[in-house]
Amino acid sequence: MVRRSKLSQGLMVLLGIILTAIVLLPVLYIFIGALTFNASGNVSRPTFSNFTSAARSMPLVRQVCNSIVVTVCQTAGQIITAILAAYAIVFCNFKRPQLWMMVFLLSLMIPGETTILSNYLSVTSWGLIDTLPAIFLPYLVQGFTVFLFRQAFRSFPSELRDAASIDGAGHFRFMFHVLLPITQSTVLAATINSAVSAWNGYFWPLLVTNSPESRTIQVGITQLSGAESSHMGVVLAGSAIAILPTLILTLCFNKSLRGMTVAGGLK
Amino acid sequence: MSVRKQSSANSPDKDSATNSHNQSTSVRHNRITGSLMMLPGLALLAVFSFIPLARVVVMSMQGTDLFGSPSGFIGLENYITVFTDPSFISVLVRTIIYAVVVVLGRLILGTLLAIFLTRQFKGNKVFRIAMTSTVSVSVAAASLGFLAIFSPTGIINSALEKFNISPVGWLTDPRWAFPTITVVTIWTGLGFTLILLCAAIDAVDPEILEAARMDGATEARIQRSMILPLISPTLFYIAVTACIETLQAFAQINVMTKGGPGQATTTITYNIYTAAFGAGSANFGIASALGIVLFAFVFILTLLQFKLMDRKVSY
Repeated sequence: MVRRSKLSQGLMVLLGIILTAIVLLPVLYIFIGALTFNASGNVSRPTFSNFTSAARSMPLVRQVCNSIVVTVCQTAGQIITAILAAYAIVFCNFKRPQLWMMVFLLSLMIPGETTILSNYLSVTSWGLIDTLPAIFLPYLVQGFTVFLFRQAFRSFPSELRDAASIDGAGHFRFMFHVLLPITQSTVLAATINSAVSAWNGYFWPLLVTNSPESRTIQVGITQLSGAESSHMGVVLAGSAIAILPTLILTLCFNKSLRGMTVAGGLK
Repeated sequence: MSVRKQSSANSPDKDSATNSHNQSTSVRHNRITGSLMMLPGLALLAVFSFIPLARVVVMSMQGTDLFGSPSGFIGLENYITVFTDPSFISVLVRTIIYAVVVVLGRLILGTLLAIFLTRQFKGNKVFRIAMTSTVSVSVAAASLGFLAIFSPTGIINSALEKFNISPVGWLTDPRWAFPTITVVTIWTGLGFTLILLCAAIDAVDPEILEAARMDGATEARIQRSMILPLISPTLFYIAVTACIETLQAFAQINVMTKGGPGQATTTITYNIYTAAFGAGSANFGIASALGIVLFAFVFILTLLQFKLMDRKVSY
């Protein structure tokens, strides 16, 4: 055991504060700027006036609601499709389960920036442009989420599955009463992962929406920065609202973030 | 289910025969259920990934009419146009430089910070949670924060002013815009890099390190000769995933520079966007050809990523 002196402990903490401040600079800048920047670009006493200005110059509440709807639908879709597919691959006696896993992993090799060209034309021809389903429909399945669940299900002892089926538990009873409670850390990590990326989506939501009322919050705030009526403080107030929900989520479930990387096959 | 219940009601002498019969029906029954369970995921992938990829391949070999919609088959003409265009070659070179610098930046900064965060001292957990929480910040919002930081009156230029250095047009000067976007992109992936690296360093057996310390190895020596080799698979994995992510970077460029000034910050993904959706230049044929070039890069890098995942967990 190496015993460190009080002085070196103090230096480490000081260094920690400095490094954290540098790494968090953009986040701190967003919150401090949102509270203190005024219209002339100077710093004033902290107020919430930038937040009320932001709400006046964009349909802020509406866009937050849009983001919530998109996040809930997209996350639910990704988790449900992934659990079903991973369950089938692990427990349904397919002759070549690896082959089916490969099909889902293959989708990870196709960049979304390539397929948007076709998906944009499809969504347009279906008359879904400027609607919320257009935003989440192409993202209801995620190959990596299937992989996460498949890794978790595979470590489940097959004797227990057999015991459950002898006791007369069907697929769904086994899934909900035995499998998912045991693998709940994976469920939690995958849900947070999906929800954060759904909430933070930008490129596709930007393409398929054009009226302010159907934008998500991420797209909405970037439109603020071009607007004549808003200054930097207002833009940062919008940004603060856009990052607060996911920031709180990851601070609450910090352990799950690490679980996610371990479950992803990396140690 | 019903099949199984019948079997338990059967008399013992018929048991072996009915058992094997039941097994095969239950296996088949299982496979049918399994196929139905896999159907939603597979159908969605087909409609929104696999078929669109095939369609982009087709569109990359089609011309474009006056309204920007695909027209007749023109073979590889779009690819020839793209690869003989000096401005595309410079976009390609810029994209590769961008990816390499971002990967190196994340690896170097990430490793230094992760070594610091995994040291034993009071409060290290708090710093670790604070730094890794940046993983949840959207690129769009972070870009707006950086837009304010790098603005003419932002904190960087104000600090320079204190040292009598004239303000720099971080996002408007063609020499500075690209380095600035690179720095922002290093930041947007730093949280994820730190999560992986801290977990990797935590997994190093402390007894090995303690033994090295007993033998008189210095901290610097331990970090260079022991920790770095042990976390090298993670470093390599981060390099590959960061490279894929940088090739696909869009939000920071669109929010901060719109690919400019001139084409100073246009990368391949941003070029797809401007080719297909840019004002007055809708050309899905060229955009599709660019999309296939991007696909080729991502395909090869993802294969590499799978190989690295394979090393840790077989699938």
